[in-house]
Amino acid sequence: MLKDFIRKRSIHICLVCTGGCNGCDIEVAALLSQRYDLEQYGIFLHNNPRECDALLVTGTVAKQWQEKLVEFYDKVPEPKAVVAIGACALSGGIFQQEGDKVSAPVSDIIPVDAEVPGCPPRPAEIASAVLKYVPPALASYRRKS
Amino acid sequence: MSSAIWYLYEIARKKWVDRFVEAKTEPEIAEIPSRFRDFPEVQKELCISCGACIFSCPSPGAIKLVRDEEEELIFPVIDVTKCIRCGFCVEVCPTEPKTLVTGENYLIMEEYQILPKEKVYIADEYLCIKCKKCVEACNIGAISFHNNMIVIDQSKCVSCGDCINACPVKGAIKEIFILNIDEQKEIIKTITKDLENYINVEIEKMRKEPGFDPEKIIKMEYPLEEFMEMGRSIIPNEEIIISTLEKVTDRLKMNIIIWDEKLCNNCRLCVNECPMGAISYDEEQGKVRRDPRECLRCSICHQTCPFGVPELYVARFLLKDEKILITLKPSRLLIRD
Amino acid sequence: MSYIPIGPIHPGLKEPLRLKLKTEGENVVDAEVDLGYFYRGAEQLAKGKPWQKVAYLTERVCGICSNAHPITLIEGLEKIAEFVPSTRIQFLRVIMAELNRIHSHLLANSIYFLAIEHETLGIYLLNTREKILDLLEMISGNRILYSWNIVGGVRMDIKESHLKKILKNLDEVESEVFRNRKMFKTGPFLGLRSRDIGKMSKEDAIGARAVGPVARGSGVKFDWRMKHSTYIDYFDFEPIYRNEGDNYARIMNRFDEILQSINIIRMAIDELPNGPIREECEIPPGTIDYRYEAPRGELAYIFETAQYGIIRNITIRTPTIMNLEACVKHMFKDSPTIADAIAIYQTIDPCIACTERVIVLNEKGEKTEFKGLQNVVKKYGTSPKTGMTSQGNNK
Repeated sequence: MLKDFIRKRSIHICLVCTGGCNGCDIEVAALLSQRYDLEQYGIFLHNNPRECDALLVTGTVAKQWQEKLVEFYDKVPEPKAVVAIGACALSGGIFQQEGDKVSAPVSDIIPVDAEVPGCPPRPAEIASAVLKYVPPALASYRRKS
Repeated sequence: MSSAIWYLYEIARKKWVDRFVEAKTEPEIAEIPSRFRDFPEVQKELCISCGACIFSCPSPGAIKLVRDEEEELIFPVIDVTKCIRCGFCVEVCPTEPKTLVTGENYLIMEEYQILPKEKVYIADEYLCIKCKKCVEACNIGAISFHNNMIVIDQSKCVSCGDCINACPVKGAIKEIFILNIDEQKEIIKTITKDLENYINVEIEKMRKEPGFDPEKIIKMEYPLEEFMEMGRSIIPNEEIIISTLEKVTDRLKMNIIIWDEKLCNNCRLCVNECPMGAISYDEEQGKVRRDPRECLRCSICHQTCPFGVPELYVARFLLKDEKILITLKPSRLLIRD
Repeated sequence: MSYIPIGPIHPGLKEPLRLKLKTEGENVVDAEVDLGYFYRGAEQLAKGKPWQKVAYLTERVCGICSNAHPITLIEGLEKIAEFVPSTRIQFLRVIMAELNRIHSHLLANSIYFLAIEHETLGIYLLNTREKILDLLEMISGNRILYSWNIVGGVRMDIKESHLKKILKNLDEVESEVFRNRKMFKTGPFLGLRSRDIGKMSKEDAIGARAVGPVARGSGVKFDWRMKHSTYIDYFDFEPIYRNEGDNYARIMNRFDEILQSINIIRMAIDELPNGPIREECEIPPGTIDYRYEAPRGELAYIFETAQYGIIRNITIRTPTIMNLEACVKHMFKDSPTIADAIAIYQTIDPCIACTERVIVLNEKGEKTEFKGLQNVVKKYGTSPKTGMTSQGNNK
């Protein structure tokens, strides 16, 4: 109970870039600035999968990531949630064409709880999506298992 | 110690305390500038279903044209997961006012289109009957009738294909795929070569059969299966191969010369007449020889020869059901006495 | 002697990349770089597509220099068409390019400060950057990917009201950059982490073909803006360079370039002429080797066009690949601790998304169809101009 209560108020997120254009990543980095101040909402951004509650996945899944992304997902402690950010992660976007070398979307490889469309989405959109969808996803994850 | 006092002094300023108490979110977070390109909004009733937005979209599959049966409207639908918010579809939309709206991109109204085209439409002067149906059919006004000629303005055309549907003459308006012109040229070269070889071989076979009448029309069929397999290795898109073949067979007229050596009396009249020097006299064997690789099929030798050694046929073609139907007609040219 | 692998996902790295450091105690002796986590095949996708679509694709090669990539393609196409845009178009492009450069440099410096755990300065700079992003969004309609440049001009005009906002925000940015620059210059702990760390001499920089602020931090006085016609004709551009060659020099160089860019934008706004913002331009077949100064250094586009503006063949060379080599070969040797290795790596402003467009597949059945720089040069007989030839002349 207590864990659930706390988890809703402090979400640790880990940013994984699987090969896009960097646009979504720097929009997540922009959330750190004082204007958006991600930490006032109880979200802490770092790049360690073993300590995080939610993965933010950006980018088309490049060849090297196909297996590593699954490994990466397994390292996240339960309960866990995944937010896919940007057109690349949702469908491959501009890189999903004839003769491509990517295996987007991310949802083919790991289960995705929330999607943020846009190329790239505005930082406010990312923050609101994380706040809105991650706590219920974490809560429902426990019920599933 | 001194630094601690300095920090306290810094924090305890009245301005800072005021700011801390009256802390507010900056309006810029929620404020979206007027030029911000969001996902395009669709105004269904304005759409002319030209498909310019689909051609322009750099992210394939983000825009689809959907037909609404109840309202009998065709309009674009945008897939939010694939859209990259570039706003190019809005820029190229030819309707006025625009069907798609986003940011301030819909205000861009240029006199010329920069739509990336897969096909270019060209009016064929030779086949056109000047009925002006295409001028009426064009929703954008890119086709005009000028100097007794149909002119398609390439800077306005959005390659929708309405003109080709309205045109009553087959092949009078041609659509040309421009992305792989060199490959198409190769296809045209190989098919003409293949057809000629095929006709020569078949005619040789027919001549050997009894009851062959050189004055009659000869019909034969060229099966396309083998050729299509070869064509796919050049262009993977079958649609382009078929349309190229159609264009070839519509206009192609081939002169076929069959050299019957048995009738030759070695008079050498034709040797000097040939403009290419394709016919030569072999002095060792005392025979007249023709080199088919150099031959122009100009039919001068056919008109010159008093014995009828070179037979001239005119071949015409029609593409139908994965076959090319070939009709060979003996020529009606007068033979010099 | 031991090996320390860092990455692909690591708190110190902002983009996936695997660094394998060979260490003796705390000293880094050697390093290996393993790329391939970002490969999308942008060049392959660009082949046989019309330029309108390729412009959007090049923009997405890198989200940070997303103005430099399309403008290199577009100015190259205009060179093929022998089209000279009006003075207003040139000035508008300069304003946009310099705004993009400020945003990129601020981000690079801020990530360096986050890497040396000076979060205050890092987050101050990120906040300053927001003001520039506001301007970019106001002008073009998107914070990151502008889709603003086009062959024959620009999509949307910069109006009078926009100019006022630009000048106002630039004043704020300038004062903040001055303050942060002073903090960096005088801060004793920042100095300890930055000065005399990751040194690279001028000879090494030229030998490793370093470009951009990395080379200029080591005393190489070269910038492709010196050879750009607009900068020559209207702005008397002089590159900024420093002789120290350490982390401090590279970061300081970026701060100074931000201030220089602000001045260039002010000059452009003062003298902004009237004229058309877009003209018609048809692209004939041709080949070109066009270079442009991206925020990270020299950016080369070598491509061939067919009729109707279709890109036949394209090769992109981005600055990070050379800087990465300079970093691994020369800078890591001068790293006193392993923690400094990450800081050094961040000073070259690595952009892995830019770098990874080529992959060589050795698996069965999969051929490499990549036509590299060498093939293009061989086929069309253009003289192979490598990035450093012009720098070599300046030696």
